[in-house]
Amino acid sequence: MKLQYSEQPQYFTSGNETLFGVLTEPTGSSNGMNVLTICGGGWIPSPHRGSMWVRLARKYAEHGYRSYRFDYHGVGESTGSIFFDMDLPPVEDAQAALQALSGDDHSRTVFIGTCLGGRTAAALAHATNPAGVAFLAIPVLGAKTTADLAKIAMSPRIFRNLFKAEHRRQYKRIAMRRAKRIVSAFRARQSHGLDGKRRFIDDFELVVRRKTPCLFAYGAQDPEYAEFLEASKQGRLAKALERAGGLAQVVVVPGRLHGFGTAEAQQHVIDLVLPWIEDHVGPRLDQK
Amino acid sequence: MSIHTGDQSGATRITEWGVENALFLGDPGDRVFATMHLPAALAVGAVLVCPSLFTDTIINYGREVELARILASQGVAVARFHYRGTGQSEGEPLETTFSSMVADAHRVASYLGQVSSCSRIAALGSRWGALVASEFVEDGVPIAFWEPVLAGNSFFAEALQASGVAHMTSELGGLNPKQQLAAQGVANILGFPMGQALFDSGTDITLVETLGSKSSSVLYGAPERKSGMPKSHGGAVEQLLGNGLTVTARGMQGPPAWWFVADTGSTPLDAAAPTASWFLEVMREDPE
Repeated sequence: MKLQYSEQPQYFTSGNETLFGVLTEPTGSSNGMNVLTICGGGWIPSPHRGSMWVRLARKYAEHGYRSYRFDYHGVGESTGSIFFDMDLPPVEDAQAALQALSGDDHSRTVFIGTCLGGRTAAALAHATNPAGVAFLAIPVLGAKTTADLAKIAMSPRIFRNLFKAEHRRQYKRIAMRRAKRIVSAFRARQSHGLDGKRRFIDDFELVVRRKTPCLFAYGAQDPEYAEFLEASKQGRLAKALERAGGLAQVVVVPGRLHGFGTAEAQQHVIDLVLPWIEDHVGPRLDQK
Repeated sequence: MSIHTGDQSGATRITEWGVENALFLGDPGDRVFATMHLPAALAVGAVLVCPSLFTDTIINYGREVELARILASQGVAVARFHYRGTGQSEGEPLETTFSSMVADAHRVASYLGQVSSCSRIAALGSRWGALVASEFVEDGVPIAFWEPVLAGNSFFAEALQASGVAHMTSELGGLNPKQQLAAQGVANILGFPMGQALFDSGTDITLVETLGSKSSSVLYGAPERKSGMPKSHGGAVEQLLGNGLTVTARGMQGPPAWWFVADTGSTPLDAAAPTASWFLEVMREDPE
């Protein structure tokens, strides 16, 4: 059977860990473009749910694209252990995968990230200079801070509920979980030598300044879409989107994308990114 | 740690726990993705890990890798793999059947036998993989289970029920997974396709009947509760003992199998270390 792709498992290093990745290449003529697919948190190995990245890679190879999927450290075949935090995307891992895919020249590489993988893609785009970035069901705001939660905890409803043992137990569980997260995040930052949170808007503003084409894709029912709509009305995201103009495309599909829990959501991703690359990324590269 | 990437035999790395080799086995278009975990010295035994399906694969991935690394560091060769139509492997998801899974197990075991020089391949079946492992294992060879699926029909019923709940809460409308299976021959199980062929081929399979009296020693791992082993698993252990098998029933710390990946990540049974100890013990008593 003559396939239109060839695949090569690879190991590569990121810090003290060895990560696992798969390079997919067209067996026919290449169009010179590369795609780096980046998973979200949730310990999902590199094929993604329902082998979404595998199907995307093999289909895109038919159109001449090389692509790379990889396991973060502590996930799938990679070594190590990981703590996922939306504001601490594992950008070093993605950078190592990018190196394995396209060496030092990222000018013809597109990043595609889902959820936390989108935040990783933004941070990676900050550190490199890709041809384009697709953010799929990405939360554009940070996780709720302890101060946000404290504000919620001061509400009269919460006080009323404290009279019920069942609610007290529930709040205790939430507080314990929060405390655990704070400790884990602190440790993760210590071990990575990071002194603060990474905000999407900081990375995105730089991407816009560099005139990098971007795609935001959401499901109409994604809570992340409601957050995006709200954040894009005013403030820094609104300004950045305005400045990006036609370079930032927003696509909304019916239902949900986030979680990629249906065959339709997965197929939307495969089907909508390719025409965006061909219409919005490829022509810009040809002009250069 | 040394790393090697990039030829037809896949990727190889030398780690503190042995040699790992990730590769595709078989002919193009029909290849099974597998990872071999080989001890640095001559193998004293070999184990094939048969994984589960759907969300279970995400939840169990880490502990299967952990088991493989512990065993390899103790001199036992281990192979893990993805069934055709799932994960990194090739093949059409809708053509996956119980028989194709067992054939994949044989293909990978045959390669494991070659590279480890072991003639007897023990097996571990994780959840659904327990049925595959039970069919695969030869007479007189040890087998271990992690919270095994006792019957195909109840596993599929649970799968349809869990994905039905997700469908209902998503308010997406359209056919629910049960109706999808009847009308389209494929159901969406939380982002993983379940084809009619798999449903038909696996629905009548039961653990006790499939294993019969084949195996010499059985490790039966199930979640530990205050009241002991869950009733259904206790009954299965009784039946296996009735078949004349030597069964070690072991309660394992951690939550029972669940269809949804928690946002706190994968917290499966703490099963890797006790299972490795058991394999080493039975292999010492009855060496290759």
